[in-house]
Amino acid sequence: MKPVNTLFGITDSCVYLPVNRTPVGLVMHRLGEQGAAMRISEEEYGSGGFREVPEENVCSLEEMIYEASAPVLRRAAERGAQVKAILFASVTTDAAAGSLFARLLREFSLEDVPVVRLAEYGCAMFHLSLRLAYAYFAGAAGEDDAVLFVTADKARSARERSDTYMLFGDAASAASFRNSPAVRHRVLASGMKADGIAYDLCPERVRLYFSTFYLSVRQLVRQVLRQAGASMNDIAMIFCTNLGLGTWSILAKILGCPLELFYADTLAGEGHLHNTDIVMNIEKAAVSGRLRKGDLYLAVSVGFGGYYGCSLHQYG
Amino acid sequence: MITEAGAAAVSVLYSGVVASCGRQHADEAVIELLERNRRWLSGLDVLMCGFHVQSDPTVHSCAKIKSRLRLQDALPIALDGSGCMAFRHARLLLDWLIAEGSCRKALCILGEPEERDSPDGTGERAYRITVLRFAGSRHEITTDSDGEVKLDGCDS
Repeated sequence: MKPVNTLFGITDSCVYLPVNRTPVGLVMHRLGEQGAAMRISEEEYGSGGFREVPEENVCSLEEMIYEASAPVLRRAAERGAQVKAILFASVTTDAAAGSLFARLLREFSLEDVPVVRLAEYGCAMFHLSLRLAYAYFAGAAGEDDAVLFVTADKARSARERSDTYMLFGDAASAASFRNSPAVRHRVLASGMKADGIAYDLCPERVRLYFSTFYLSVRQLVRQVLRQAGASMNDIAMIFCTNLGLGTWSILAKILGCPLELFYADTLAGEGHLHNTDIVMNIEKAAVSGRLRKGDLYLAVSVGFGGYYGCSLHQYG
Repeated sequence: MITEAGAAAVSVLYSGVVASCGRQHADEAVIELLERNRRWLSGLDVLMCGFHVQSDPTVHSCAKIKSRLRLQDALPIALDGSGCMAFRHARLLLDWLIAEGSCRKALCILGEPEERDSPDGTGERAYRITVLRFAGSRHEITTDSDGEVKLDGCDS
């Protein structure tokens, strides 16, 4: 990575959330009737801080993508930013990216902009996109260039609403990466680990993943802090994939930080929204004033099967 | 002396059709192909995979290939649903990583299933696979004592 005096980071973001919220108990009951029961009880799942699941009943996935991306593209155009690529992640669709972005690309005259759909990283796609965007800006990028990260999920079946360990809500979000003084969330250091231990559902590999993923997160967080010459004492907040209070308690213990450092305001009403978690949590904390200018924070993503991302940011 | 990263050089290491022989996934055919050609794997920084159709969404083919071939140092990147744009998208991302300098050598595997006629007329599943090598080139720019600038290219 380049030295930390780069201007690379997030300049803008937008999150689309469904109006409808379904209580966790109702969703779990429905899954049980569909033969996709969770492995834990409603009470145990609720102890993780989860209360409701956003479920989209009106918009199509394409419309959700539009609602999240259009504001970011509009503001980018107003600021003279040139979108050079869109990195797209979705766990819940097999539609070609081109068909999902057709209206958006046409409206903003971006038909020549490649929409690259990334796969396999589960809920760590934010950091893969950040890593790739960083590489772009470290090369021959222009100062007005932007790379968009867009993610959207809408469950079409019981299997996409739950993997029997967690419930997944519907949402879409977009974040603009630039190398510019306009950056609001500067990236000071970042790292990725992708061992993909559990590359299929083989029980032995899944068990190995669950028993080791905490260590991989710790290794990565320490690496990123060391890279920036920072320590956990410098960190104002941790924005992590919404894995719940139980998992976060273990992460907090092995990272040597208080659980309260983990931003938990969206656990109850939004829960886990695949790759939208990180962008949503950062945006809500900034808007509400929980994040203050100058604050250093960590973004930590965990993708099921062995994909991890960590980045150190400075706000404002 | 100044050293600058240049555009990636692309070589086609393999392009052909592999019979499924009962294999459920293209990744199994790829693993066997790469096992037979281990020399392609040395010094790999990135393993990129783009399978036109993923027959089993619960299998992460790129991670599976990385794990089975013990490519610990290679960053796996999987493209999904790129279809006929797969090469363009792979090239885009690998050019970024190579220009940045973090990737000197990458393997890109593109694959799609294909139905072929078999002698007994029942039809046979096969996989069309292409293996591409992306290698970063570096230019050495030197100035001699007379002030003449020379440019020498070399592969990473």
